[in-house]
Amino acid sequence: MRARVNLPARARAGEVITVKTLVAHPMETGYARDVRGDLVPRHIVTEFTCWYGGREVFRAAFQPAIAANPFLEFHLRATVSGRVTCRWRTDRGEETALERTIEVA
Amino acid sequence: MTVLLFLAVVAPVSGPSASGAPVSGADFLNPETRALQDDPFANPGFLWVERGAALWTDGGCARCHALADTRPAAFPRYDETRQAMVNLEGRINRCRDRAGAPSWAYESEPLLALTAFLLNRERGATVAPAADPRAEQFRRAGEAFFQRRRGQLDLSCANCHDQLAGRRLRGERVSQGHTNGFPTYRLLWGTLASTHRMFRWCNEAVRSEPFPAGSPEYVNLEYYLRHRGSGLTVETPAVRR
Amino acid sequence: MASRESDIAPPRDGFGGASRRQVLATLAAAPLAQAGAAAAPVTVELPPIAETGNSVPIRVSVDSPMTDDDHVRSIEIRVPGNPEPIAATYFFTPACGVAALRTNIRLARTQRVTAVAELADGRRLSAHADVVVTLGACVEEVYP
Repeated sequence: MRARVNLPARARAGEVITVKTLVAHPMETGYARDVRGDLVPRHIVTEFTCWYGGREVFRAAFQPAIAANPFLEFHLRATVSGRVTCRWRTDRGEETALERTIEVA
Repeated sequence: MTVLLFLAVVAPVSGPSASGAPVSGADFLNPETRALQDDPFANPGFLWVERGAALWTDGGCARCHALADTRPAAFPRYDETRQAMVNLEGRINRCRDRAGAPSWAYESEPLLALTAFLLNRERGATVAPAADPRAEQFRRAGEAFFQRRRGQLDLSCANCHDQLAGRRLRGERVSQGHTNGFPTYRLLWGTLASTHRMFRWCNEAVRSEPFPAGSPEYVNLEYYLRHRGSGLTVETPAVRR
Repeated sequence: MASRESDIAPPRDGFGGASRRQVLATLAAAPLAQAGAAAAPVTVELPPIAETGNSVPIRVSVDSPMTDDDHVRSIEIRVPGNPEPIAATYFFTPACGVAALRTNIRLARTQRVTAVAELADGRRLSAHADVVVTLGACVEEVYP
């Protein structure tokens, strides 16, 4: 899975920042049929997790009603300089993680 | 005054043949879909653009080609050796063929990614196909394809995209059918898609047998549509419903 | 990474193998605190008319100080007109600073979309928005 994560490289302590994420995935619902009329097996991203400052700070559980190539925007309060890690997992056990660093002054 | 206002409201958006100024498919979108196209992070098409950038560098293109010298928006263009039109997809696969690499199928991730990457570099540039007398017969063939009624619904491309553009058909405003945003991210398909996939889908929608992606019929149509959309700006990767 | 301590409840899959009927019955049985009009702490933003049900932008936010004592624990997006009535559940911590999210959802048909927020003290608040889902000009598969 290819993924994108965007957040500011620098922030003031206490500032609330915006984290934007995007992951390449078809999010097959399990209800659609292919050209031969066969059901396309369900295959979705089920879990998104974000760590910051060594702790899990945000998590999401996706169902098939999340559109293909899931986009998710949420927020974090900048407290310490360090890594922000985002990880996606699918219902087949595949996973992708991306890491960004933020400098907090 | 009231009458004039009324006319202004019901008048369809003119086809390019009527006003001479083509209107991009982006102008037929709801504001939120337009906003998605214009958001360089949230527009999913950029997942392919990024992949294409990596392919250009790691896939060997950069060994022979200077990126600054590529003219992706000039395709389809006349190919002397084949005496036919070649589009960007065809050009890329010819290069792979020369290098002894297998062709990339239409709608395969690398072909979509590389075409999206190259055309995205032209984003904002004006669509302006060069006049080429050798290509004229192919432009005319593409135009004839556009005008010919086909399928069980007996509709030509022009019936909808020239004559009915701007009108509502169920929940949708009929666009002028331009190609300036391709490869384009289609919400319906949840993926980036080539012009030829769109042609096939459109042909099937009027219940006609679609041509194969990459067929001369579709390359000629693609070339004609470049001319028809002259003056629009490149929007790759656009977002369409 | 998996060994890190988590202070967030594990994600529920929303269904736990339950049938659609069971899930809807459970949702209906759980009373929601009625937010006063003045308070209106939950906001759901959706276009009134969705151009396609395949991807509809949604923004949900909850007016909350996001302190250790007073914060939003989770937000659930409910889409009862879909084959599966929960679109996603989001789990927040005070470290989020703001309880808000944006995403794109699939809507099988015209329906009322509800966001349910669960607060640290166990209270649950909700808000909703109605969306008309239109069909495109030509033949197309519509989710599901």
